[in-house]
Amino acid sequence: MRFTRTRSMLTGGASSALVLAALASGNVVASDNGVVTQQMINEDAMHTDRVTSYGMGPYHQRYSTLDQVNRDTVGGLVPAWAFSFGGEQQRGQETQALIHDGVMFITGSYSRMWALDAKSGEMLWSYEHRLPDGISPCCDVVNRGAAIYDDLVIFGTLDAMMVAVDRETGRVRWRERIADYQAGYSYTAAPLIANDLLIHGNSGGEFGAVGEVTARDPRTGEKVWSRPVVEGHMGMLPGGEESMTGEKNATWEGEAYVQGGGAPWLGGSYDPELNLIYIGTGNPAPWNAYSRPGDNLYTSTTLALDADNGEIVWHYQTTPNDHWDYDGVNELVLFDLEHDGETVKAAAKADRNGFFYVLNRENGELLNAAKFVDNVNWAEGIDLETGRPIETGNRPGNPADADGEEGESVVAQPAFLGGKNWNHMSYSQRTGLFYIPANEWEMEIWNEPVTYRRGAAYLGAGFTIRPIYDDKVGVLRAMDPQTLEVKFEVPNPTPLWSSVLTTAGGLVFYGTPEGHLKAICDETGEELWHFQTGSGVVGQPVTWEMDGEQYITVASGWGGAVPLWGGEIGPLVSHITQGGMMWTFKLADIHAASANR
Amino acid sequence: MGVKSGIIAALAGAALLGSATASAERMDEIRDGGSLKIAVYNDFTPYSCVGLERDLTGVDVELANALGEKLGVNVDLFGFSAGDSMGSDLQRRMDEQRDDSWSDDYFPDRAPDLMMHVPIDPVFAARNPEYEITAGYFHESMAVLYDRERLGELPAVINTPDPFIGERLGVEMYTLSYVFLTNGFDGRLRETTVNHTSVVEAVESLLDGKVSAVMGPRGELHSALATFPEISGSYGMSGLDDLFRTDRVRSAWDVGVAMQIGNPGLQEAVEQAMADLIEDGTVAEIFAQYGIAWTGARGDVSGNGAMPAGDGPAGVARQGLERSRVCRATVPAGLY
Repeated sequence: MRFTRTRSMLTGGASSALVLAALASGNVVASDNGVVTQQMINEDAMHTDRVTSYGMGPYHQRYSTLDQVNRDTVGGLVPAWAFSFGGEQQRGQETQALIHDGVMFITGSYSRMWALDAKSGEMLWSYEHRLPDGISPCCDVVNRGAAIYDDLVIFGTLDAMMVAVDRETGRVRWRERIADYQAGYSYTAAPLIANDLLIHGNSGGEFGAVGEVTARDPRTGEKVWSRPVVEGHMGMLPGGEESMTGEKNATWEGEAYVQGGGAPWLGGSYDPELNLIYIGTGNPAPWNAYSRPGDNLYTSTTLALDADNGEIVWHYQTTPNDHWDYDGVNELVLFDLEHDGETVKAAAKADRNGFFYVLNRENGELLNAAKFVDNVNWAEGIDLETGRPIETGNRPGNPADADGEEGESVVAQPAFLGGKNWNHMSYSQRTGLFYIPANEWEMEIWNEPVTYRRGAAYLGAGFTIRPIYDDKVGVLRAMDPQTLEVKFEVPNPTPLWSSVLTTAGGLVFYGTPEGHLKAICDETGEELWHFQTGSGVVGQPVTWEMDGEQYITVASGWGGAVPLWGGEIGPLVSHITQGGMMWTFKLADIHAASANR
Repeated sequence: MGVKSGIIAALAGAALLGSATASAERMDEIRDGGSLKIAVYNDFTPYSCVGLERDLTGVDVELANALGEKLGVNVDLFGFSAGDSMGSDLQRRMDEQRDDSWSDDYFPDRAPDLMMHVPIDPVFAARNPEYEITAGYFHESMAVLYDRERLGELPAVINTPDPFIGERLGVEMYTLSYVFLTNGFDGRLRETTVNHTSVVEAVESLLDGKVSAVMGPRGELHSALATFPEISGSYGMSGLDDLFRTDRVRSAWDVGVAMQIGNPGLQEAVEQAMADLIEDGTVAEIFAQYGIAWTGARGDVSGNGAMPAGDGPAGVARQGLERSRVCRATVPAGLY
């Protein structure tokens, strides 16, 4: 099978784009008959009448040029419709909606998917994946969204499968197993369409799971290439030839790499012009770093993969020899940066480890880095020459050297749930700022020489997560990528676990566990509007326009890792009630609101 | 995702084990037409696991049934998956009123009365004060099963890593043995430590000559070796003691039964029944059926002493298991 690249510049003209699309494949129909092409996905951010990709465009900026809903009119935002996730499976709604041709595609917890009439909220079809016993998602039953391509809607399931259904009927067109769920694998991210390929990672970090990025023919599910993200493992090139990831035993001792972890469990972003896929990898296994000295490449790393063959073009490791479960899966958001008088193809990442990195996305060179949370004590900063963290030595002790019944205790900041977790930041083209849903928390780690695991003695560590401040955990921060200064911040009593949306209307939308979808001013952080959705918001707001009206939609439904792993955060969120609704908003009366201007 | 390993100590939640209602002694309810609900791991070869016919099998399963028989009550077995620590296994389960987390078991009727295979250890007990851990029925200890052709004859108790330097050593991944070998001894054994998905798989590597020795709890090693009906070569087993700088790390411990505190009737009945089963040889016989040369609880966590030994190779109690006693998840390919 031969795949030809479709490279369209985001700024390219329509005619050249059509030519390139036609060249891409005999099967791609470039005419507007409703099917979704790579071209449309590449240009997603330029169109306001649709959301055809996770991240609202391959750059993952989550920015819309729509401004009907703006600082003056947002007060008139009211529900247009709502849709219930139903039954007893309401918890944990982290989906991002896709909208195309008047239809909204959403996923739900427990591996479910729906098509809704985007205008009325009426259900068109539903797909409920039959889950076997013994699935092992570590951190709740969530799903973050689907991909659409051609006439298919494609998503991944908790039992580690990719499922493609017919966009019109919801009937299954193909199903492929990613990995063995009985060996601890699962899938919760939204897959990426790039280079006319379906790109997905995998989830699962314990008991021997190894991270891998896979490219498939989106029409058939057939594997095109695969790239394990731990050095020494064999990947597959297009055509079936094997190729090793990195160099075996370069940064791992002995056979530890065999169960090295590193699962890229969140989605990736894509630069169509460079034809590079950017994806973050998870923490190395096991958690105890004394078992695996070395940098442990390519765990806790951002990888740039050649979309044609999956080869690693560059890598940037944010946490070498990760001992804090910081992981490195956070999204890389692509943007243009004015740097030393030039416009640089840049990208930014707010890492779980508490640092905000600005990279050159062509070569992975570090341009700048700074803390984006106030409390970081594992490293003083990032050495801009070497790109490596300047560690403070605040690592947990070796359990083999522990004295007493509990060895010495270490307080590490941020906590393992990270300065920012999976929920995505947004880059506003209007202000040139990043809006980061951050959290300020810490963890205590101690050795447990006397402990037992599954019927036998064990040497482990205990840890517990706790707040740093009395009055806040979550902090939405507006960060300038040029100066790395925080322009403003908006505190929240509980952890922020929702993605962020920015618009040309001067607004920043995000959700809170308290149940609110909020709109704040993108220059001051002043709250201009909020709506109580009835349960915690851990979803991802998006916006589009339909028949001259701007719509905003977000999933509400408390869940995810915080209630499961939140330690002393637990009491802050234990009162939050369950619920599961897709809420869609528009202005109540555009004319009246406009007259107020 | 992201929290995939390590021990999470602070999960909120109620008890796995059921408690007595305010007015009634649990044992009276059980005798009065109820049943004794007993929790066992469902992935713990050879003590409790899903068998080849998808039923629960293993030493603890047979022992739980023998307990019920001795008490004259019906037994309901409840298989559950191991969590990050036994403390959380005891504590993390939801009570009967709550069901809002996918990871916690939901008990439509009531939580189990007993949990099998819980360590009797003063430190562990102090951390889990809501539970009575009693009726000790086995003494477990860390051991090494080795290939005599490669390592020669080793002493009965080993307290130095020296015999193993440069040798490939098999372990079950992320167990105490794995941490011993990769974290201890200044890393001298780290590069040659080889992970396996189970002790049975590690023993298979030993029989195939891929590793020189396997480290693990003695009972698991005995049963793993007994799983192979025919073996060639000569294998020895030694105890491991004082290997670490700290005496806090356990290399031997007693195994018993946990129950919620405040059930004196239930506790007394279970302790008596277990004592009877030990006295009449039932316990030793059940262990022997799985290849394990049984040794009784000693009442402390120190000292390894000499290994109890059966007549089989490396002291196992038998060679080859009944098909009904083989665990589905760890059965060697081509056998049974």
